[in-house]
Amino acid sequence: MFVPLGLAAWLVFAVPLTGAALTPVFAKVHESLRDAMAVLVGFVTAFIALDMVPEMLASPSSTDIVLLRWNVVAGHVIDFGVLVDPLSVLLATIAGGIGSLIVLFSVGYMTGYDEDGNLVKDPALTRYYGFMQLFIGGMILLVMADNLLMTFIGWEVVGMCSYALIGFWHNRAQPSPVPEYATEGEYNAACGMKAFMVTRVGDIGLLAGILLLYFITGTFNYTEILETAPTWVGGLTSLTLGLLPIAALLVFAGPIGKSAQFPLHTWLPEAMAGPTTVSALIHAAAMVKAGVYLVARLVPIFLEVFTSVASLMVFFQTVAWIGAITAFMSATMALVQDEIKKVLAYSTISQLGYMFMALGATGLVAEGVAAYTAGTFHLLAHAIFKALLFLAAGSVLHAVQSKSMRDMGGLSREMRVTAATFTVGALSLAGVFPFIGFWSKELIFEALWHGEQYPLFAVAFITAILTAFYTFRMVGMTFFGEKSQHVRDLEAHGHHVHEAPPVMTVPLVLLALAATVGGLFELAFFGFFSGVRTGEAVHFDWSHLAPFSLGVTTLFTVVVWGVGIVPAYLIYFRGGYDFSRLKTGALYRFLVNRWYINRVYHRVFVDGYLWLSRALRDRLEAGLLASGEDVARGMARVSRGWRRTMTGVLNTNVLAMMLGIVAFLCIVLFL
Amino acid sequence: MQGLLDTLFFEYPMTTTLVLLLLGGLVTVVAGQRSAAAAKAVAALSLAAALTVNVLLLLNVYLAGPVSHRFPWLGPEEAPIATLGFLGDGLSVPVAVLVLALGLFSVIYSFVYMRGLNNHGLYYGLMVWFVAAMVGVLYATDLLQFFVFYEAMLVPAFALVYLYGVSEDPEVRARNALQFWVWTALGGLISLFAVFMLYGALGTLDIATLQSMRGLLQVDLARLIGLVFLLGFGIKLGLVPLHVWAPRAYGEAPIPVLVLLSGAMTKTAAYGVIRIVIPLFADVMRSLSTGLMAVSLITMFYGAALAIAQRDLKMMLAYSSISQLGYLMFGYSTMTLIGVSGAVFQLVNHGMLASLMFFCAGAVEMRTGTMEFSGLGGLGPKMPGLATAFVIGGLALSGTPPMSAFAGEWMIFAGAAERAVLAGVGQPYYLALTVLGVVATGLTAAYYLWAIRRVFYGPVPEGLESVTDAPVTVLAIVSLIVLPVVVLGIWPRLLWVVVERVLSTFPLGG
Repeated sequence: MFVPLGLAAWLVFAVPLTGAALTPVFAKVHESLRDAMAVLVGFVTAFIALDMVPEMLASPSSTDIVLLRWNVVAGHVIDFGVLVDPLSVLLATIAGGIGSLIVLFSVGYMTGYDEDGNLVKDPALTRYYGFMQLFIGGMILLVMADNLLMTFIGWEVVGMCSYALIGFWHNRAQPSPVPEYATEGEYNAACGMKAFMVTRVGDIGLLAGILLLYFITGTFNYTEILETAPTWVGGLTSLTLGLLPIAALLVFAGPIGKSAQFPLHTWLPEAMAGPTTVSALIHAAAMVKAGVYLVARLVPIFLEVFTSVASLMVFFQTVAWIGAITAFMSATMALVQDEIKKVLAYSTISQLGYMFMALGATGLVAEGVAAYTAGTFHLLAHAIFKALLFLAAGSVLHAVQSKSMRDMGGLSREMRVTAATFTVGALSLAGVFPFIGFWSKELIFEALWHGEQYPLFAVAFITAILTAFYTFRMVGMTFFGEKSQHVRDLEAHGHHVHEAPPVMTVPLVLLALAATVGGLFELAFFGFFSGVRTGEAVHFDWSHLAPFSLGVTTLFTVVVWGVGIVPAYLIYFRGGYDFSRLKTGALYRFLVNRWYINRVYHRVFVDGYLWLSRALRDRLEAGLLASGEDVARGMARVSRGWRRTMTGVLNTNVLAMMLGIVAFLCIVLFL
Repeated sequence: MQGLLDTLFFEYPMTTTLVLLLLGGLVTVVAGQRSAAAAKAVAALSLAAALTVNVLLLLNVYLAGPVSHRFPWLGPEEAPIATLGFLGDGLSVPVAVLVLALGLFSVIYSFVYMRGLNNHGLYYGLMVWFVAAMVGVLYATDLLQFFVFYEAMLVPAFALVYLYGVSEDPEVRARNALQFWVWTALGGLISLFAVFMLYGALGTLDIATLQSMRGLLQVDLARLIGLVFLLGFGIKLGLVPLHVWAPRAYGEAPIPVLVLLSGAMTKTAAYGVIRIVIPLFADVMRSLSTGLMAVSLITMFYGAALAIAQRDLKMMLAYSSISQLGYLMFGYSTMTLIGVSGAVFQLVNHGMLASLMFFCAGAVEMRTGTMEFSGLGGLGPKMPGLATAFVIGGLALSGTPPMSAFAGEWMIFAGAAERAVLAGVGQPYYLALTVLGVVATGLTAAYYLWAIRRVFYGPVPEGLESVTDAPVTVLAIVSLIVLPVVVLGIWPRLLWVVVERVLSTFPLGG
């Protein structure tokens, strides 16, 4: 609107990246300038991103703009450019818009009080603001990039920032929340590393998949892959045809890691070790959305060639079912969490599962466009209500100085704005009319139901019930019911629980507003993606798919409210029931231990790998080095005198060297 | 005067470089007998002058193309057996700039790191000569010349490890230095043996001539000679199981010498592969491709596994270096233009990054007196500058964009992916090799991030409360290395615009 589209498309990531680079410089001038610039950069980014929206709403189109010849290798020209289309603008708006609110919130949140009650700033805030801006910039780079390689670069920048920010408080001296580490700082650092490593596992597949796709299609560029699809599909032989689904699945490993899907979901709960603002950014605006974005970006391409490469069905099935398994599994884990941020973390994993379910279903159902729209619309919905929930939770944490919901309770009287906005977010997450979550979840239900994907629908339905229950359990335990001992202790010490300052409540109100009226955007999404190809059947019936439609699935939604919310209300708002018996049960232990998946991974991959490497060091390498030394000594003896050679050379030492050489030759020659 | 400078800098820049360094080393030794400051100054100035000449040469190569000149050396003038030739092209000059820069950095780093030297002249002179020999290798156009320099560089290297090793016990030092010398000399001799076989078969030692005659070589003989070359270079590169000399030598060498050993010297072997083996024995390499890829993978994984098992930061970096050279060889082994390009990129990257990490480790030792993980921790807030450089280096080596290593690594794996797509599902082992290759980057991330955690995060151990950030000299050096690491990562074409011209003339597929 105000900025030409071609300029906005690259300014939108150049601004936060530049802001990140300049943060140390501003910090040298003055602390407040650094904070102010971070907020300014955030809002400029948000403005530029939002500025692209009206044009996309008016005429959804796709424009590819090349910025830089990144490299030319072996005749392969790799350009760096941006792709402006509804999907990239949507994601850039989410990252920039919500990101800017989070940066604003940080100004209030990243402070604390010393022992005398004076306001103090976190001493390492330069690092914090620098990485926050880099995070937003990397995420926007990821979504705006016009080719897979540049997307991968943004992808890794995001991963690096998450590593730095989750482990942000790496030198805190308080006792660690888990017994494996001595201090909280060590625990935080370990969590940051875990996030980086687990997502890295997915990135391995992603990079390998991208490179395979490159040699299958001949380009990294999304537009070119789509446009030249008939050519490169035609060029596939019976040998290479089978590689395409393998490459597709390898690429999907990236989203599994980044979007915390089963079996790589284990990092996300630990990512709560970072500041709550970072959690909000990871969950709502950046990072986990990257995986959904990439799948959404690739699904139309795979649909395009689906008719020629039927084996791609395995890709769509995998995406849908990974999403379904994850959605259900993490919803069960969320039921038993006591930390408010952990509940939100598991709910994020679960909601991302919904998105993958819908995106995977695009290839399975006749109403492909509905499934696709549902997935992407849920992405927007989740970004809004999850940012709201996290920031509101941050406001609570800031007030009560504890993460556990057992230390909260009855806070709604003191923290009216926080409680009200948090409830709006919760209603949206539970899928209650008329909040945005209702419309997006409803659309997923419709796509699955009308697409006759009943097993997937059943999982989605059951998960929705669990979601409604744990959401209102969380609201009840935090804001309603009796005040906890911890809160009463605080009040007894004269530290009254108080509402957050305006710099924190303004973002909450804005997000709550968006969650309330955001459902109206559903119409635009249908406009955005009407060009997406349909799945299995070409036949396409719009009649039961009008936007804002209410139908048989609405009935299911009403059931969800009844079965999910009502018991939660009775138990956690009204109180008076005692379920402590359940805590000794096997089911509780199974859920609270996260289905034991985390523990098994740690045993096998961390302990196992360390054990193996130490065994290699003490047995194999020690022997190799000793024999290497013997060779050297043997050779030295040769040079010392001919007399010695008769006995000195032809011993086991030289034998060892010969064996080494023979081993090398054998491997080279015969493999 | 102007004419003389033109001749020296633009007509014979490579000869000028060598003469500068050889004489510089000599003057350093002599001056060092009088004054330590003079030795330091002469060594640094001669390296700085050589670096300047080569940076200018790099610009010249970019603008005007390669520079070469040759003198007859052995045999009659009209048909010499061996010539003394120097070639500065898009491949040799960037590597020479790298080696010279590392040499200069190591010497300046030694000013603050090498305390208590009793003969400054000898130490700094040996350092300059070591660099001179490596530069000689890079510019050689003749195989005999190549190997004369290749063996000659072991003399200062051995002396540096033996005389300035970190072990207190001179016997241990002697043993480790001897082991280093015997193995690397063995590697050189094996390669030299291949040179003689090649001369016997084709009657020339000029690399360019040999390249044009490579079709004349019998297939079996070519295979044999190619293998012998690979074996020789493989020892110096430290491919597992031929790496046995490396850990002890790396452990013994003081940091500045170690930077030259790991950051620069192993690169001469890597350079030998791309300059000699790949152009001359492309068919042999191609037929051995799968096996070489397997050896490289073993090196990558073995190095990574041992790195994480080390109790000492320096040894972890040493094994990391071995693992990283496996990537390089993996790129060569794919025998696709993109894979080999990636390997050459990795050659430059590893030179920068391995040195960066060793410099950082040395600074940690300077301030804390130890490199054992058990004695370190929580240094991040105390040494913010150094921690930043170390974290950037660690992430870069793990293949994280936008740092330079990614710009090379993706090409290495692209080479494997190209083979995998060409082979299709009929030969799935290429697919497996591709994926496994990328897995190694994950293992690299594991040991670097763990090291970062143990050194820079968490509580500060007793006795380290008063640690301060690294000396300004060190911070300046690591910043100067981090700068190209980031710039080349963001825009790799800056380097590739010269290197690609040379590589595209090589007989490679893809």
